[in-house]
Amino acid sequence: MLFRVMRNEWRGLAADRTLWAVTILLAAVMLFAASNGARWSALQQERHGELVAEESGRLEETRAELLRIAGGGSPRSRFNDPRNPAQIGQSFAAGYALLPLAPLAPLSVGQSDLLPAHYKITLESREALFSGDELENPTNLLAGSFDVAFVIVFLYPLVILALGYNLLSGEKESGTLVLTLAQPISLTRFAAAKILAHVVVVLGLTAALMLAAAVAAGVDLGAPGAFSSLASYFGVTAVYGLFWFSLALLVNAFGRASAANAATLAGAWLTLALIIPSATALIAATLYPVPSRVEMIQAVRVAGREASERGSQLLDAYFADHPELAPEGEVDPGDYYSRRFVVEDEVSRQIAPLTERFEAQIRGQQSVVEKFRYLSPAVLAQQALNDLSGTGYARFDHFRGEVGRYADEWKAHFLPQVFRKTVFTAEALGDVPRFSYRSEGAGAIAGRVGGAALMILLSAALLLGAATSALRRYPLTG
Amino acid sequence: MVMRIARKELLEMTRDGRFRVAGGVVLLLLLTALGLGWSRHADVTAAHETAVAQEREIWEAQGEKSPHSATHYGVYAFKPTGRLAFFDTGTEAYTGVTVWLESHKQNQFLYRPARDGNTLQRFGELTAATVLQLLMPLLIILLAFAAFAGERESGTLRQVLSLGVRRRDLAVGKALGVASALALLLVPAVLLGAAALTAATADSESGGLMRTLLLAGAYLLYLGAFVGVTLAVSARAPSARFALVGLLGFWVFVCLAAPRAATDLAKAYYPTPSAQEFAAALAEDKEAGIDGVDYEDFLEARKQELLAEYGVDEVEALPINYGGWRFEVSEAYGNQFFDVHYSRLWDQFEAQDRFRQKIGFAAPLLAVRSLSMSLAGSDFAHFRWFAEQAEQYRRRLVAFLNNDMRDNAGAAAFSYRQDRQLWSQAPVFDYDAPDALWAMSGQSEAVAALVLWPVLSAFLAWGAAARLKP
Repeated sequence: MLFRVMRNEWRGLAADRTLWAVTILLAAVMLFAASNGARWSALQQERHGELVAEESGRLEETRAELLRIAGGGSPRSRFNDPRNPAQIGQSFAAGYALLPLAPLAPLSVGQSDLLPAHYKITLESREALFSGDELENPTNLLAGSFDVAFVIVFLYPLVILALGYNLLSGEKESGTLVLTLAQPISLTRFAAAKILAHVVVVLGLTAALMLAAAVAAGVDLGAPGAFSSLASYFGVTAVYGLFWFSLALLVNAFGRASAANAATLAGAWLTLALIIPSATALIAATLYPVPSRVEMIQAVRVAGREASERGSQLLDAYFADHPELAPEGEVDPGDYYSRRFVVEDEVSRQIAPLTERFEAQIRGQQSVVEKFRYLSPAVLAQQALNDLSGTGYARFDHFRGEVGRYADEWKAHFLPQVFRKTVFTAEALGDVPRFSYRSEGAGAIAGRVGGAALMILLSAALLLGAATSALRRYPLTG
Repeated sequence: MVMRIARKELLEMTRDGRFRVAGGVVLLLLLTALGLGWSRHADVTAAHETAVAQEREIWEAQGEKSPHSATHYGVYAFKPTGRLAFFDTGTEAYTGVTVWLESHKQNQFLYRPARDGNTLQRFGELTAATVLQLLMPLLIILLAFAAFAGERESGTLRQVLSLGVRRRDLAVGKALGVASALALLLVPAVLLGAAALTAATADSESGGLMRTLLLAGAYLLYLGAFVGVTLAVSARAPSARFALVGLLGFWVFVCLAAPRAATDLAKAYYPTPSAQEFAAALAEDKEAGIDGVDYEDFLEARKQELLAEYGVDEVEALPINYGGWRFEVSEAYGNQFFDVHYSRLWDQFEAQDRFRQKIGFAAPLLAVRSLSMSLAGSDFAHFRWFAEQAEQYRRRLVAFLNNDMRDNAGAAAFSYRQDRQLWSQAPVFDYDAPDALWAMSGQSEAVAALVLWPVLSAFLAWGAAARLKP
């Protein structure tokens, strides 16, 4: 009987133009989204390639220049001398830290348009190293991208609701509901069969379209972890879909008219997908306002001025603390580079409390988001999809941490040479530390994605439970 | 008759629980967004004013050094937040807040506030403008989708028409009813907004009132378009549920899909260069020079002019400091390239924005968003206006310092020192915000789309009402 109802529902869906219209529309937006994602990740890939090429070209030139000078040539100028380790660390050998694209990157743009996926590491202060941005029209960043994740998080629920808003109310309005229930089937089983028919159709269609989109977006399914990520991507999508199916069933279970159901579901979608996330962002920003960066700049300026006034004093104090770094013989208080890095070190120490305040406020905001995100399956799904595509906040945060470590390593490599006034040679170029990204590990991602999927599933189960109990009081007449 | 219909519609809506709940939520969000927007705006403005004063103090207290060293010390310019940005924050979270002005270089802006925010802001910021742009149209649809279709289903339409009520009177009456229900929500918000605005513009008069009036007009046209479309669809739709689903689909297209789709298309047609490409192209051009005239040639030609002007044969015989003069020549040489490259980059951004405006003919949200950001002073064009003024100021400041060295250093060159006395005479950055007319000048497509939409939709509703079937 269950299967008969499902088959009948499929016939009904196939005969209705809505399903075909929805299929064509969904296919069109998925392919459009895939092509946007493909363009974006190809562009990023190309940019990374340019950076790598620029770096290796620069290193080659530096090596040649060092060999030329070693062979008796003279440097181009005092400010352009690769024998000086400060200039090597500051410009000649500056290293890029690149965040490689994950296999599913073309499916979600996520935070990758806003947060840098590369930093140029020099001997500058950490604030300076992290302040650079990729060029972008701010209006583009404001609007966001039409990527596959956008289609899944926002449009796909609407497809489910458009097909299911009159699941029972439609039958009731056309008079077939009472007729059907005259057969040996309960309302609950009937409703279950109908929604199951929808689930099979929509998820089947989505799975096919997602695979097509991944192929169209140029995802290399043979890459390690790519296929399992895509399977998880679809898993999150399926679970997220179940939530909206359950919601459609619940709203139908109250037995109101189709138009009322449509309005209620539209309101629910709006609340869960738009209002709660925006309101949460606003609450987080109000509870933990991040001070303006303007204050930070001022603090750096003031600390910088005071530190440079005490330059030679700081230099003496620094070498007293780090005797192993002190040059042989007298400390030259006028030495530009030694003075400069000691002053910068002091500035970083001075403004550390302010930097900490920034980070604490950002962490505070993020903790509000972590708490409130359970209110909206759209937020959970968005974060999980971004995590799987390697474009989520967590991965960029981890990358920043890695880059910070690399910057420390860089300083630790060059500063002793600067202070000791080592003469840099072509051979030493080979010892310069290079960055390679250590990913945060599949376990961390799986934990976050699994947790989100479980929460969505749990809310879907709650809705289903409520729907079952409401169906028992379903008003068949009137 | 029209008024009677309007009154009946209004009464029905205000008695309807759905309208009360939905309207209450929208009003609450609107007032919250205005209130929080206002307080955030006040904080940002205060921080900005403190920073500007402090930066000047830091500049003047930089100590004794040569004027050219002072150009390297530089100053920071801080972008003020738009006066109406509490209403529509526009792109403010995505534009850098400050730029370092130093010699030899036109720098990029730093610190996009969005990078310091939480991950949810990418779902869209809750501002008064987004409530009006996204939620109000939805409320209109919910209020009016059943206007004709619902009455037809319940059979009252046949009765009303049999009384001899003219079909178009019915349409006008229903439109007025919806409009007055909306007014119930909008009037308190407008009063609050106007009060905040008066407080914001009390101290200055850069077209704040004009901008506010134009904003009000833009939103009236936008919401009017939705009233017209909703009534037209309701009159033609075979059933109320069909009308509702169709209208919700229209809303999804206009408010959700179109802005993102337009952005991806804009980026595909007018690609943004990477920071690396931009810097490399600038450096390459600077190296090559214009028409084969590189820096050395440029300097030589200027030097010959200078020697001729003073009637001497060698720089040592000049009565001015040659080093100071040469610094300024190198500025003039470099500035040509900054002008070309930054214009090209920013023109590209503006072409993207223009493209988005044009999509406004298909999706009016893009038109009203563009116009609203512009009038609120929070769009890219206003950012560019600031950035260009800051750059002009950089050039004035650097020239002032280099010229002091040229005129006063004599043969002393780098041992020539200046102090607070000179730093305090250096030009001050006086930022002039553009007026409303300037803001409108880049918005012709948006304005055209915003006028066309309500006219066309009223025309459609009018036509559909005339052929209304009972």
